[in-house]
Amino acid sequence: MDAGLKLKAVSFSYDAQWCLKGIDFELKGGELVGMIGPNGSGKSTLLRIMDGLLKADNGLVLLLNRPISTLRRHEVAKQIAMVPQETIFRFAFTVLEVVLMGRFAHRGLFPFEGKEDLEIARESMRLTGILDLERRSIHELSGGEKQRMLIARALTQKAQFILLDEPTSQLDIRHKVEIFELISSLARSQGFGAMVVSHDISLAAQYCHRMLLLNKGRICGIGAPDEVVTTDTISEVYQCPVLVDKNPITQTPRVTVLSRRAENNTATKPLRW
Amino acid sequence: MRGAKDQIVTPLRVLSIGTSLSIVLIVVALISLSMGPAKVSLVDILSWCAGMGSVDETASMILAKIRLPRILLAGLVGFTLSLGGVVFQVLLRNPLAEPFILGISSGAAIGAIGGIVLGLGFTVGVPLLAFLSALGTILLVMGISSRHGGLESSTLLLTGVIVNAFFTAIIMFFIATASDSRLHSMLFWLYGDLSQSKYIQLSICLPLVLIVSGVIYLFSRHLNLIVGGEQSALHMGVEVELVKWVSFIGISLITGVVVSFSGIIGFVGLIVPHLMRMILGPDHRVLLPASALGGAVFLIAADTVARTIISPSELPVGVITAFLGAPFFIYLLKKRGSQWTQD
Amino acid sequence: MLEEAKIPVYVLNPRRVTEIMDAIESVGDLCGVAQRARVRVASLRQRIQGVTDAVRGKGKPLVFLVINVKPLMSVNRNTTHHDIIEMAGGRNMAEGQRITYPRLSLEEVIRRGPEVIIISSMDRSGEHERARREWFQWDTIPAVRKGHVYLINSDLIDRAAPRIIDGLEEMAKLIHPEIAWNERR
Repeated sequence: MDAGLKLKAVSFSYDAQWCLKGIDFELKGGELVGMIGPNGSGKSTLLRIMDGLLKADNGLVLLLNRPISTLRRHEVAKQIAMVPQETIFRFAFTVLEVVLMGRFAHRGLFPFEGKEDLEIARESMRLTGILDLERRSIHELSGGEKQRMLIARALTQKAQFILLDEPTSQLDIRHKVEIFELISSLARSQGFGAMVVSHDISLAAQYCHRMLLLNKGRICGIGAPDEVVTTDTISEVYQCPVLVDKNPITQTPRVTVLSRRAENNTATKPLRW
Repeated sequence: MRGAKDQIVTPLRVLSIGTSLSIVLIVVALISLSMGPAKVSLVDILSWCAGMGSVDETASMILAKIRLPRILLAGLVGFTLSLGGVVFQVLLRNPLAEPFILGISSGAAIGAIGGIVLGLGFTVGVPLLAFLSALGTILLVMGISSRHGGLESSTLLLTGVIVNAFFTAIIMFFIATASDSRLHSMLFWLYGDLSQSKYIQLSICLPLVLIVSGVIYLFSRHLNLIVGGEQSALHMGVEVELVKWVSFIGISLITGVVVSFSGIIGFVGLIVPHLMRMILGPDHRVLLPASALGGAVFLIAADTVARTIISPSELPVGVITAFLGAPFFIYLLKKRGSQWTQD
Repeated sequence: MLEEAKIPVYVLNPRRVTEIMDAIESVGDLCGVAQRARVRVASLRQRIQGVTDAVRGKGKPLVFLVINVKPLMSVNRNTTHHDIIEMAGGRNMAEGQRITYPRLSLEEVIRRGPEVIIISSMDRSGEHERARREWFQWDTIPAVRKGHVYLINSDLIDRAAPRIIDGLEEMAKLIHPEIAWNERR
């Protein structure tokens, strides 16, 4: 239970276009890590390498101290769950049916779920606040409800690690906060390790124990939020003028994007990018 | 229509639906047995089935050697095509998919037409050539579409469409240059013909179909998960590529076998899965057996209409399925159009 | 189209054997060999008479003429084939069908129980011999039980030409094998 999800000197490339290089990282149980970085920096790719969906060209990905490539899909699924950005169901399943799908890896060949699976699914839905949506068709859900359903599905996998790929990108501010609250409290209460990919840097910084900054396939910052999220690093990595100060209420880094006008007015030293 | 039922799919639900449909199937088959130019009443049918002889020699011969094998073949073909339709619609993520979409139809047709041109018999020669040709085609399509050992849905679809188009051109060439009698035979085969059914053919098809259906059923939960996307399914533990390879080859195999005996009968693999999904929901543990049995019922009924509606002459069964299928198709597009474009 | 090209066109569409005879004479007239045509037609008419005389009063067995095997197709009364069958002393099983070359179900043939089945074929590869033998399993049909399932060369009966009289004679031999045809020559 203590063995984390370890990446050692991992590198990967798509058709020699660009690559991930020298990734050394460990996700531990009970922590919430926020992965940030500009588009194209390799965040989604890294997530898929962590889940074993993509095979690293070099280096090792270890799950429970075994190379992930030696594990069958359902063995991985029992340890790692993924909440994708969005999901398209061509046919109208109900919410309960979708959440139950998370039990797949635990079922073996017998094609029917049992009482235990049903209880686990309902518990997950209770935790994510969608228990009353049980019979609703998934095509009738709002964006926030869909995300919570996907999180509930991930919870039913009873995995040690949950990876979330931009879970809040389609949501309004209230729901963004709700999702982060949910993930954070669940990670604490259920004890799993979570990696959240997000563009909401400030919000992530409020909740995450650690942040991981990815740029052009390399880790250029890893540590506590206020270490990683600074004016210089963010504006350089995102190639965009920003101001990072401390949120007076939460004491966490707060990122403000500057317009041209604001930049010209600023009294601080010129920004390099 | 699903709201009032069980929360989730249980073995009981599957069994009860399966049993009800099986009963419907038997009833339809019995009714079909009683219909045709030679009049035999339902009561007589029942006593004939029970082995009691209240039916004269001619009628008995008609029932045993013409109608019964034909009904059995219709049921088997309907079963196979509908099962294939369900599987292809999930795996190709396309509501218009049916087992012929990857080229089996034109592949089998080329083989059959080749057999007809060579003057081979319809019991062994033509079906064998049709089957081998269908198999070759599907392997070709899958071979072209596989990258790094994985099968990509959109590539499969496109390759299938191109192969179909190319083979159809060849078929049209044969048709244009065929002599009269050959021409009739070719068209007959192309429109689907269940009248040549023989018990020996059935004994080849049946075990294959049952085995493959059983294997596919074991994948029913996998298919459920694949509905949400291949990536999602992989994350949740499904060996997606394995499911795809086994399913495509299995379905193509049994489709190729039945089609080599029955010719091309379209729309069954398209309509029945949609119909069943609308009534019973998208869970494949119910949908697979329901579509298969529903397809059997549908094709037996369609074939009965085909062989009795302009009695003593016969219509090709493909005409009836197209007649029912095309309007249904349009209805589908209008009603459900929004659902399919939910991308 | 030909008319537009100022080529004289004469349209022939004989449905009955007598119409064929007339057509031969007309063509003869048009081509300037009227005398030869008449002589030819006279001899053909004589042969027709020979056949119809021979079969008179000998019963009219039900005949099923198969012009295509798969699907099973026959001829209705609007064809020269029908005419030939009638003149050869048979009754065309499919005469009442609405379509000229109707597809029939096997069941219907079994139900009607023809006494003679004639398969018209242009095939030399033995394919139709196989088709002929396939009938043997339907042994409730009188034609099968008595072994009256035959092949006929379709060349003889498909063309609206003098050859059709050869076809007529051939057909009569098949329908009425009991008549001693050789002695009548």
